[in-house]
Amino acid sequence: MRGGIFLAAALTFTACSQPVVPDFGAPNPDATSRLGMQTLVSGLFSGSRNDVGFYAMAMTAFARDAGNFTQVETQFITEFMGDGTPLLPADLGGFVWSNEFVMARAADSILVSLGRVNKPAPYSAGERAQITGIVQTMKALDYMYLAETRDTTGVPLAGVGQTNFGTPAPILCNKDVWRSIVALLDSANAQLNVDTLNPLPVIVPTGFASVSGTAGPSMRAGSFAAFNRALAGKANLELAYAIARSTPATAPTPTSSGLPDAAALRRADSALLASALYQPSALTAPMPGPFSDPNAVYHSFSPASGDVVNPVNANIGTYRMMNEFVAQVDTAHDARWKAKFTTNPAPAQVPQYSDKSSSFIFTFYPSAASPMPIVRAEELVLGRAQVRLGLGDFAGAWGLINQVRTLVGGLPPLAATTDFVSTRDALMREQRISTTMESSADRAIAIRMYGLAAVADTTWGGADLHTTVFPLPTIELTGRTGHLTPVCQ
Amino acid sequence: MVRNGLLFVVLVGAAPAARAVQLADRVPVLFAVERHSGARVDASGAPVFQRSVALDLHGATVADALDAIARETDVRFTYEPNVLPAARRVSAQARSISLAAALTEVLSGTGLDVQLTGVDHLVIVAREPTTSAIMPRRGRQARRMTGRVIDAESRLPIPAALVFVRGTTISTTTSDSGTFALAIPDTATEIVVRRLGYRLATATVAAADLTVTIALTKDVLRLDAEIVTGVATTISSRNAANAVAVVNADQIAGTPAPTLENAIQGKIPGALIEQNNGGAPGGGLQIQIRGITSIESTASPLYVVDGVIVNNQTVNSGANAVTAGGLVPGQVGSALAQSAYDNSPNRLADINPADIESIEVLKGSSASAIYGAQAASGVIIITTKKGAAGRTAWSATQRLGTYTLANELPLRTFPTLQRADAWYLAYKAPGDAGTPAAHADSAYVQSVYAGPQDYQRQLFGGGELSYETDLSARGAALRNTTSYFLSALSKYDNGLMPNTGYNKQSVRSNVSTNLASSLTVGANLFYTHALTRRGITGNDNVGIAPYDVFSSTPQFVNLARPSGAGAWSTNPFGVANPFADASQIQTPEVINRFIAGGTLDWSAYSAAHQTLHVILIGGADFATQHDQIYAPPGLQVERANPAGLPGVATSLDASTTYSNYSLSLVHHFTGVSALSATTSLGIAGENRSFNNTNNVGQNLVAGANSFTAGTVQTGFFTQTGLQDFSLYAQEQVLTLAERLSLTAGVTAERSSENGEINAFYTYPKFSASYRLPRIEHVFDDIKLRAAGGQSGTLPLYGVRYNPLVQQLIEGQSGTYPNTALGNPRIKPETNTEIEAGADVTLAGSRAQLGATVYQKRITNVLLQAAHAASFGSTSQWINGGEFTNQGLELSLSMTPIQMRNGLTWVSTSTYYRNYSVVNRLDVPSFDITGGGAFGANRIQVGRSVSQIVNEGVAPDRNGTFPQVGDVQPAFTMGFSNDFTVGPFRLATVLDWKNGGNAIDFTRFLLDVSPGLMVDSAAAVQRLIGFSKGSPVYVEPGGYVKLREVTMSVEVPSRWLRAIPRLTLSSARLSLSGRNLWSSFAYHGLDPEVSAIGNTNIARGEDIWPFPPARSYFISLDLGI
Repeated sequence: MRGGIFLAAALTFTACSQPVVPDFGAPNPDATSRLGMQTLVSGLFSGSRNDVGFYAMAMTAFARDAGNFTQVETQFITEFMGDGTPLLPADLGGFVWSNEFVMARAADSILVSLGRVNKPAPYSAGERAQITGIVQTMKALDYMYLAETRDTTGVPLAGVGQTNFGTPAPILCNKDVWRSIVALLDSANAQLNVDTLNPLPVIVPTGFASVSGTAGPSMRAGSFAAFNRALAGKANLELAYAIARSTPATAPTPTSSGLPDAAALRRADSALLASALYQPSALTAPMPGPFSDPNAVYHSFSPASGDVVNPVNANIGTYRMMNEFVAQVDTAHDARWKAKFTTNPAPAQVPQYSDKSSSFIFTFYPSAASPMPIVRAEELVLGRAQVRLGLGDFAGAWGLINQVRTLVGGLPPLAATTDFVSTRDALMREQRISTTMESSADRAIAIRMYGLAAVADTTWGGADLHTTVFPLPTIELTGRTGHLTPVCQ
Repeated sequence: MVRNGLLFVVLVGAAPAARAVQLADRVPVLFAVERHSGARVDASGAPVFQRSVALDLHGATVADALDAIARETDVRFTYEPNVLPAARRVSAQARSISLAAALTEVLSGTGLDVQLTGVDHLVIVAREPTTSAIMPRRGRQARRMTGRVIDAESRLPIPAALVFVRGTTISTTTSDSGTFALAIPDTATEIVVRRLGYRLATATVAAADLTVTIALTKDVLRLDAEIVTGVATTISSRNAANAVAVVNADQIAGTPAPTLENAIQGKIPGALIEQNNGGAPGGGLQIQIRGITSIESTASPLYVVDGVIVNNQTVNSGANAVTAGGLVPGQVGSALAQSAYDNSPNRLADINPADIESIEVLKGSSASAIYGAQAASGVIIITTKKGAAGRTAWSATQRLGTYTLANELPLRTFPTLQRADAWYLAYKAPGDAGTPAAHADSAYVQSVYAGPQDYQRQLFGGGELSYETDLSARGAALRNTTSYFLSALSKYDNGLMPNTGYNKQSVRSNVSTNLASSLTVGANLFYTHALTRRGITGNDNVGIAPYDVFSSTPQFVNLARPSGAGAWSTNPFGVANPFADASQIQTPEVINRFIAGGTLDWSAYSAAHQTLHVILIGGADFATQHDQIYAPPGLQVERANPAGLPGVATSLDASTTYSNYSLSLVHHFTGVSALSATTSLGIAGENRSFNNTNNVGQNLVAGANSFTAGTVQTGFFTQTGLQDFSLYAQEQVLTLAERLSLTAGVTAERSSENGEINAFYTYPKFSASYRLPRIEHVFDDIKLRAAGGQSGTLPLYGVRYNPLVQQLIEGQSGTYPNTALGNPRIKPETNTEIEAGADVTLAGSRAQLGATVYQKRITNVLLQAAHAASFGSTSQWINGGEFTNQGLELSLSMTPIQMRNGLTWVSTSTYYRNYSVVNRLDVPSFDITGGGAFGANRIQVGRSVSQIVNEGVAPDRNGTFPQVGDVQPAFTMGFSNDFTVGPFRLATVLDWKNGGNAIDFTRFLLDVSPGLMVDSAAAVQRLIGFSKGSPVYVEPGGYVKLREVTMSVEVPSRWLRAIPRLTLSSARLSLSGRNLWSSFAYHGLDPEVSAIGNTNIARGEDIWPFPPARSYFISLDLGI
């Protein structure tokens, strides 16, 4: 009897207690508090860095500037540079794809949570608008990475956050992707201009210090909207050429300018001019060592525990400047060269690594804490030169090209022409030395923009086998049987 | 009465005629029992009682007094628990009195008599019948039956044998002298005797019989082992309906083994036991039972030691911070965090094989269902040695031996300077990227040429002495009411590489005591401390693994000897000097582990035909692991650190706590129409927690080995937990003259790992066996059996949650969603298994053939369902898919030779074949690991779950890649043979794995070396083939290995008696070896390897392993 009572008591006790074990492995910030919201916003900035190293290195490879070169990982040669056969979707498909969509989901979840914050007090309408503008701008940046790596392959944007994992959202064509990005940036800009007086209600990383004063307006130094408009300038430029390339009649060719969408170009021009980051007259020659530019927004890195190190720095010994474009560079005088490169002490490589060799090593990211630019004035000036060129303003384009060349490179100006091809080529040469291995990827984008992707690059020293876009991941293809062609709305 | 040819009755006593002894009650009676009539006869005149004894007792207990008398007279006393009066104190002094007088002095007034049962053996008995057995029901006539249980061959008494009256609950156990006393019905009765290691024996005693001697024959084929059927129930293997493998102490501890898993290799049909870390000391083997049982979740058996669920986790050492073997490009922390490539052992290594009495392997779900959702991969029940009635028996074992290099890779040698020069010009000419390109002529070679070197022999020469010392004592105290087993172990296994080895000490205490006549409690305590140094080998991404260095360094540079005052040579052809690394890099791993368990058995109710027991079993397993890895910044490999952060120091602290309990009600009914029924029901609970902190410091201050001395410090922390609760009920029936056995039961379990934490998942089981009546001259026994049941596999920790990623940015904490989604509806995998078989006993129980076929269907398979990342996530955990394991197990045990002159040959052969197929997947086919022409472990419908496909070629129209191999073997066989000739014994175990494949990345990496393989021309051809998609590095993984050889000799007892001042009961000298011989077609060091450690499927990957070892030992076993 006593045993039965004991057993019954034990049964009752154990059966009523729930076997609850918390999720020890994951933090769970209180999204209803301002502190929790800060954690989520910081995560948005932090997570956006995760594959920017792949992005920069792969896009630099697409720009015929560099390739991975390790002693053991031979496959990187063919993955980044191609081996004469099309890349399998699985080779590169996962790079710069899933993280961007995850961060887009993160951005959406922040926006959903924004109205629920009540500790210690709810956000004001102005504060909500400021955070919304920041979050939407960062989301647009992630979408830009997707659009730039996929180009005409297109990107599906409508499925983020869905939990019914059936058929994925339609793949938007390139121009619609860019229209969506432009619209998202414009929406963010509107939000950023709701409250332009009060400081931002969230702390942003030091890489965004140049835009961390107020939300707007964009022309005010230190406003986050300046970053937004810089991105908008770039996005509208890409939209203009995406529209042009959507039909053969208007697509640029290696020998002609094509017909880029003028309205988009004008919006790009206006956006760049509206950004406080666009400072042509403030350009200066870079100094060797870590990147530093007061008119720049950049990703910050750190070797501190739990942080992210500069992803290119870790590959300094392996990512070497394989492409001998030194012939295009005045290595004796160009300050950009001196700041970014050094001579490779052991230039010869073994034949099994595709017979590639390099004379220099990229040194722009000398430490694990070296920042990586997202946008900076030098890039924006060259970007606006592209806009002016697209609008047929050769003088304007040359003026901006030479402004970078003289103020940043310390070189004499080049003689202006009214010839599209020569202007384009001069522009792209400056883009190469100014932005290689940076996350702007301007030169790779320009190659596709101007219809040069299929043109052999003689500076490579052989047949050009490069691929210029990332394929879609296999899982995106299998999930859309019969619906792989990008759809224009 | 003679029955089964085993029984005879022996009479002791000196008096020729029966005459009653009538003495005063206060004086003990010295008597013997007459052979046939059972009458008591006067033995007081026996010579033994005239021996002289001196007494000097001052308030001694009766037991102490008897001990003193025994020492003086060389007689042996035996008595049952509780028979001596606890309160009585004896004081007596005498210089020389007779033994009879001494006994009268000590026992007067106690109501005790003395029975002479042997030459020097006296049994103290109560004058009125007393027994630990349950008396017959009131009103029925009863008699007092006494008897002995002896070994049929040696005639020595057998203690601790269970003696019971068939059809009743009347039972007792034999004393140290093999005697027993029972109050039994006054009718013809059948007495049954059971003892571990012996065949069950029965004897029918007539109504007038009062004494009996029963001889037991050794159960060399283990035909009568007790098999676990529930948390607190067992059944004899003769009636068991499941194919349960049992390995006993002799098989485990006969040959020295680094760890327990080594000791059972080749001995369990249905189990694949292979090492995963090459030859690194300290264990690291994995056991798979009846195939792979899960793709993503745990597929390791559940281990239960004396009722305590113990942890067999692998905590990776953190060596990855030195090797970067787990580096995943772009994955934050992957170059520093712990990695499966760390090649760490699992914690089963902590158990001392010498402590183990037996191991039962519950292979099928019908047997393991009692453990619910943790039993799909089988349950290994380990029972440690317990105490025994009688005097303390000591045993001591001392072993000395060594581990040596078992195999070498064919590296190119350079016997002359000219050959070195030729190699240099061919492979390191200027213009290549090799080091050092600046040296263009042979003068450089001459400057570094130090004659032919044999790096493998130099680095892995081993030769250091290994030792093992085991001490144990087992016996009983407190008037045999408390039995105990105590043991201590100290051992050291040398590693082949300098600065590696395995040092372990452990102690165990198993105590059981009768607190009252109906209450027995037991406590088992185990503590171990181990220091393991495994060095740096295995997959790396910095060029540090020794074979990685050998792949770039020609064997003519002297790397082995420090140059100058302690400074090591710089390797001009690689980034590391492995000799310096082995000497300077410290990899100590310290384990402290404490396992405590207890049982409480309360006989709440008992009657003649039924008993009710309340049984509480529980315990806890607490283990801590500390790794402190140190790679000095001055090492060549550290100076070459690409991140410019030379020097690594780590500090890893992990603690694992398991605790579990079960409370059972067990009702046993017997005696009606030969029906025996056991009903059990109860509850069980389990808790687990795991905490792991790993700090890594880089860029160290020279001379400081703390991670805090690094300018860059990175911390990792992991925490997991588990709570389980289950209810179970079981009915076990034995009927039809014990020929038909039926069992049915169900376990309902809930767990914190499930999505629905309050949902109970049920695991039913049933089984039946029937023993056919014996047919003379055809067979002794045929048992047909069938069983079915369900068990499960819990989801992995945390998959029910949607995790967030935490990542700092400039010290500011940030979180964002993980790419993988959890599933709040996740549930356990379900393992439904049926098995059928037969056990045939032949040739007078000298042979038994067992055959079992099984089918195991795994449903609700835990998978990560990948979906388009454009949803904002990349995968979600789901229960989707099904796969099946089918297999055949055969075992043949026999004693082909068993001669009267002592020549005995016992042979056991096992065969095991498992075939798996994926029936359904709710996700597209996917790779577990690998790719290209290296071979990928790909999961796809219609194929083996462990197949290897070649993805170096284009898939067919259906998108299917050709299968080129399988991780799992076609079959395995084990052959154990034990020859005994008088005092000599030879035991061998041969282990054969037929089929299966391993992926030899090591060979590939050596093939791409600059001509440093002996067959460099063939290497080029292999690379050409590989580049065209030929899977040349998927190699046959089968082998034949001579796992164990032991030769021993028992020292003659007369030699032992000749040793003064030492009372040795036995001594044995043994020579043994492990893995002395092997044969395989594999081109690496050993096909039995897994670079990724403890994984379910992706085993057999060979990347720069620690070379395998063979061992030689000499052992001396003493019984005291």
